[in-house]
Amino acid sequence: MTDDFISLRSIRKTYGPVIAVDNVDLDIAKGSFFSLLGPSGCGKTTLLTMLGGLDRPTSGRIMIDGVDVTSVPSYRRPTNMVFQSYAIFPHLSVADNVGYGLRRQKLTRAEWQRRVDAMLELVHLEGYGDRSPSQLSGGQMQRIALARALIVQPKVLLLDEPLSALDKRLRQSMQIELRAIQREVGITFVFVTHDQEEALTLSDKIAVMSKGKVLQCCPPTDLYDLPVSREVAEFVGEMNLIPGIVEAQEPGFVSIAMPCFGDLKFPSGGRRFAKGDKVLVAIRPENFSIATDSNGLSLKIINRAYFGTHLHFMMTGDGLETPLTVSVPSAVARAHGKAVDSDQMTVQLVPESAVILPQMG
Amino acid sequence: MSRRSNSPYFLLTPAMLTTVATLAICMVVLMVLAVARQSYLDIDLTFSTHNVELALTSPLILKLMVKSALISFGVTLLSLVLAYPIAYLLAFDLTRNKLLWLMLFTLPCWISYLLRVLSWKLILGYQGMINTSLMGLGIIDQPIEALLYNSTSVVIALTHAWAPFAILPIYVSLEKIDRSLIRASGDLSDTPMQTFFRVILPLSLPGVTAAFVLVFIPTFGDYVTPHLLGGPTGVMIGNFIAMQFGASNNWPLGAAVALLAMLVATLLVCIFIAGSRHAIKAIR
Repeated sequence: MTDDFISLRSIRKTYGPVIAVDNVDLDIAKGSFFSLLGPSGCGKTTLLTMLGGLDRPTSGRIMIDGVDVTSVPSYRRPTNMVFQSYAIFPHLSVADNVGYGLRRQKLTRAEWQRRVDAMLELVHLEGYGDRSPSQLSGGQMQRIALARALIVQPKVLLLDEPLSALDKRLRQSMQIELRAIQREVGITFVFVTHDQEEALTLSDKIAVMSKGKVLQCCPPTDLYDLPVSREVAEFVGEMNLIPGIVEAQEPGFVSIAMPCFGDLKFPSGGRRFAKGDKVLVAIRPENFSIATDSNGLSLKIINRAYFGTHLHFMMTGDGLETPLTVSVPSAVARAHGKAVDSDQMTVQLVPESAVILPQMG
Repeated sequence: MSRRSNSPYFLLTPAMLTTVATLAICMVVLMVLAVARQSYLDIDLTFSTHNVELALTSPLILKLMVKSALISFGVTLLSLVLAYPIAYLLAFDLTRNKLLWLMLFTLPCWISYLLRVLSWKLILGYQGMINTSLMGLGIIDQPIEALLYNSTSVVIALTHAWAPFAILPIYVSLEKIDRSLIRASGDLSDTPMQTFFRVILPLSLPGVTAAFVLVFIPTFGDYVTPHLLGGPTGVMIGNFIAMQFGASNNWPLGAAVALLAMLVATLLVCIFIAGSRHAIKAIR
């Protein structure tokens, strides 16, 4: 598995004065499921269309499998795209849609039919070949779009928010199916989404983008546990950010003075800090625990929300600028009974799960 | 509740009345006339198939019918070929001032139809623009007489008059095409040319069909342009019908031929629609 099956080098794309993509460098491994994650307008779709050759970068180079494809038009690239709107041809049957890209290969009618049927089977739409696209549901259109792109066996499949138009339940089942199909065909998938949960579930590697730049590119677990900046921390999942001031740094650890919590020792995560640096202690809601001994900190509960599996508390304490979100598994909350139902609750922060971020950036 | 559900029909009343008065009644009159006979200056209303048989068997009427079909078919095809690129340009390439461009392209329609037809006399005539220019340039020694008073001049003038009407329906159907379909086709390794034939053309077919009907039907029955520019060889079925209601004073025959012409036009349009659908299916 080579790491630079697709490589983007200093890719820039401007539309007049607007910078859509700003000096992006990315490497995508062969056969991996790679996601571009970011809010709308961050340049992720522009990056994808440039990979597919539907748009050309203002500057920079795109290499796919060792070939420079920067100026190769889409119809001669080894990439195929699944469009956000599916882009199913309304004047063709399902089978003709799926087999659309096969015309180049001059197949016999029987061979054509065999390959279309095989593809329909892959996306679990056997026997739908003769239907008109207007008779299909959103999820089915989605599968047809996928089958149509996969049938030509591209080196890279580009997916532009393909699941965003589906309802939640269907989206979840399509996510699982998409991942299974990717494993089965072994094609490199580049997936654009603004849904962080979707990106975390599906990807081998995620690049978080904002304002045309890649903020962080790493596997999903690293992204969730070790965000590199405040922006990433806030975009991926829920995160409590508590401002603090560095007291001292010793090998591997850093002591930070925080409001309400006092002085605490955190792992430094390889970063260097100086005394007096303003930092943010980033900690996930689920990394608090309900304290039974006196080590905990008593906070005021201002709001609680029940999520089935979890109970969310909004809590405040002396000196905290913004309320903390604390997530407790329902079973744990039940076990604590009374402590959870009162106005005050004693919680404990797990320093090992916190990440220290510079306050700026 | 029932009053509310009736209101759309109520609102249609003025249009319905106008249609009935101008179209349905005229059609009934035509049908009655078609099975009557002319006896000198009077019309004998007793049932007779004489004129219908005449309309169906006369070699002259058959010849005029074929000629009309050929001329208006030529006009329609020329109009479609000329209008399609303009509609394409409007839909895909022009992004600003679309309305202004559309107005400019349909500007000829702002001038009286008769004036437009007559202006071709000035252009194609014996002492017309083309002949005098060519002679002035020394390319020809004497005026070309073949320019005017034949089928060609009728085709030119009719195309000029009707091509603007073909732009609009084609433009509308092109404008409606989801742009991502065009991108998808390119992405599935179709060249821009293949994309045109496999995606754009089939999806604009409703517009092309509408344009065909819009141009073919009126030109098939036209008699003003052939009368003014057709000369002896550019006569169409409309001229024959007009003559029966005029100088020849044979209304029943005119009515029978008019009905027959309507049937033929409808049939030809149906054949075109079926044919174009078939052709599109073959392309993919």
